[in-house]
Amino acid sequence: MSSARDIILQRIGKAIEEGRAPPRSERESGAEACLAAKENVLVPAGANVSGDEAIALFTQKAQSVQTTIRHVAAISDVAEAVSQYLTAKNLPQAIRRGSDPLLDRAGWEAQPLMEVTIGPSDGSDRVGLSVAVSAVAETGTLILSSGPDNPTTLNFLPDHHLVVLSAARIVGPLEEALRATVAEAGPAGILPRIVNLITGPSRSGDVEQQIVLGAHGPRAVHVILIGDHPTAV
Amino acid sequence: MKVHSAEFIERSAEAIGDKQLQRALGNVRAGFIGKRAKAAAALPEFEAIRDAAVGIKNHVLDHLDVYLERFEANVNAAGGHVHWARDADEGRAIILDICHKADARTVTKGKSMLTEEIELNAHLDAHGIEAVETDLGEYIIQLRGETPSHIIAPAVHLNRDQVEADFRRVHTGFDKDRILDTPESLLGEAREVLRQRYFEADVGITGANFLVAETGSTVIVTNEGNGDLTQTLPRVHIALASIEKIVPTMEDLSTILRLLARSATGQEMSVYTTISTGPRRNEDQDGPEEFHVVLLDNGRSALLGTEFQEVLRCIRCGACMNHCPVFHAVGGHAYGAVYPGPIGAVITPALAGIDQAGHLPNASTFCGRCEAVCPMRIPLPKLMRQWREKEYEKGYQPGAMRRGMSLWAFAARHPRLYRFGAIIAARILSGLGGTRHRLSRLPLASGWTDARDLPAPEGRTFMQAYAKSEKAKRP
Repeated sequence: MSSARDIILQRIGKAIEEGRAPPRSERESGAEACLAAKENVLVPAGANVSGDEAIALFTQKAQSVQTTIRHVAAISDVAEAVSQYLTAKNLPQAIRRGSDPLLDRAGWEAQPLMEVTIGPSDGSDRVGLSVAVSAVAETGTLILSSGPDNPTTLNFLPDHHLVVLSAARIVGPLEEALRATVAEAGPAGILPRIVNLITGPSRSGDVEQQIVLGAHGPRAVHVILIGDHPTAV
Repeated sequence: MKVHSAEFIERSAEAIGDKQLQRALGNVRAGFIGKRAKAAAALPEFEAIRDAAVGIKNHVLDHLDVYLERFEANVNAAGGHVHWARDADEGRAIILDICHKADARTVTKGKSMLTEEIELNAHLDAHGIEAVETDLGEYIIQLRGETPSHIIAPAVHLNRDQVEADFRRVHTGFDKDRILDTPESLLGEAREVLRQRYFEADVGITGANFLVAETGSTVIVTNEGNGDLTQTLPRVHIALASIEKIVPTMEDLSTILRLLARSATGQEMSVYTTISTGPRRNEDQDGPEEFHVVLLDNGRSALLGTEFQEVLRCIRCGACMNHCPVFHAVGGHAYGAVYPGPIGAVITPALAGIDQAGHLPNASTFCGRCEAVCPMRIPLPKLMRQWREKEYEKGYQPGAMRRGMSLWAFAARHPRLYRFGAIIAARILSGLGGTRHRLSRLPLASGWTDARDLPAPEGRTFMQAYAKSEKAKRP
């Protein structure tokens, strides 16, 4: 007896050949060619930005979806920016962060009153701090990859999600950021368990189609943007 | 799939008389149409991207077996498991089996229309497993024992006072005097209640908006973050996806994502687009230990290679129903099927049989707005017309309608007879219209005249007027 898998695949093969699909050998080479080419399909002209233009567009787009942004000069200024955010929001001086080595250089020693815990969130944290691998200017989207240093729970459970982003990692179009994420996954090409594309704080329009912020994820997303130049990190 | 589409006419009449529903349906027009139009207009390449996306999806469907095999191989390579389900029964059994192996008592669910299609919650419940919907809209309708009335806004048929009453009824642990009359307060309370449920769940079940062949990833697109908590906190993540959700590469995904949110809610990008690949890695400190993808056919392969193949390009944005005058008038429940609106009128007969769902492709004015806004350019009116033809071929329409159609068809094939008949009819109707030029009653047309007057013809047919104007043009 054939498995459900084989039956489904046979059904599909037979049905599409009755349509306009080419024979199996050509389908294999056609799909292979498409997968190997990884060609951009159609990148909007407005998304084709880089450098200062990409930073400006990212800032504008992120703010339009209620992400707030704070510019700092270097990674060593991050702890101070975190502290000022907490003060401005009337929050206790306490955060939880991943063990990303970049954050070891954030200048915590200058914030002796801040309680900094490291590791995944169990839901009791008010504020989480993560590192974005990149960002997409065209939509103001942050890209965060899961890994031992960047637990996914930090992106969703705390009320306030603070994200460190290097200005040099902002790209124009979405496909550029995703292609880089796949390329960085190594020769086997296996992506991290989770790649999160985050565009603003969580929200819902399920009651009378009125948009309310702070659904199940964070109520606020705050980007700490480091430098306008790659050498700043 | 059980459908109640045979009762469409009775259900529509009820819906039109339901004041609460009519008030809520106003939010569909107000909440979606303007936002989509603005988002589409703000992207100069929007129309070209639609064409490109159609090309991607047509290519995928013509190479679907190869891409599914590639997807499966890549899921396996990342440490995940792929299960194949021919129909709803197999899909339910596979998911139940995974839940049993995980000793699951509670599962949380991200929003998934496919789990509605296979009636998963009832099946889990019958086997002692509680399924908790976590999307706010889905959570609300689960409390009410209802089904979604819209594919992306499942509770769009409700008003806030109805939700408030449900929350007061079910959330008994809260202060009775609390204020709960705003969307903010309702959302806040649901957030608090559901937070605990995520942690209690043994298995998290989500759908998938896309399956990326090149990486073996499933992709969900949400605004609330509930799908992410659902698939991150439990020990096991199951993603249920239908076989046509494949995109080959990240570039293809990027292209279609530019259409999805704009067409659905008018956002440029939904808040969360989450790409999931395999289970947690050895060093990871959170995430599920098991990752299962259940690939469901359930009638889709039977559409491949047929005139209905184009419907498999659908990305479930909901734009067709948001712009449909019939949906605006009767809401989603009247359709009596999982997928309402124009897309439902085409999919439901395919999945449940035209004998069960014959009313649905007839519930259209053929105004064409659905096709005009469909990001994947699915020719919905044409496909509805094809279902009508099939219905006629199989003899499912009432006798009077069939006889009327035959008569009209005979006349249409004999132009002289047709014109002569039209001249006579126009004169008679014009005479009947009297000085008001309106008909308040007309035999065989009570469906129209019961509700409003029919304007009477002027007395000449179009062909007569045309011939006269042509004559006048000649020197």
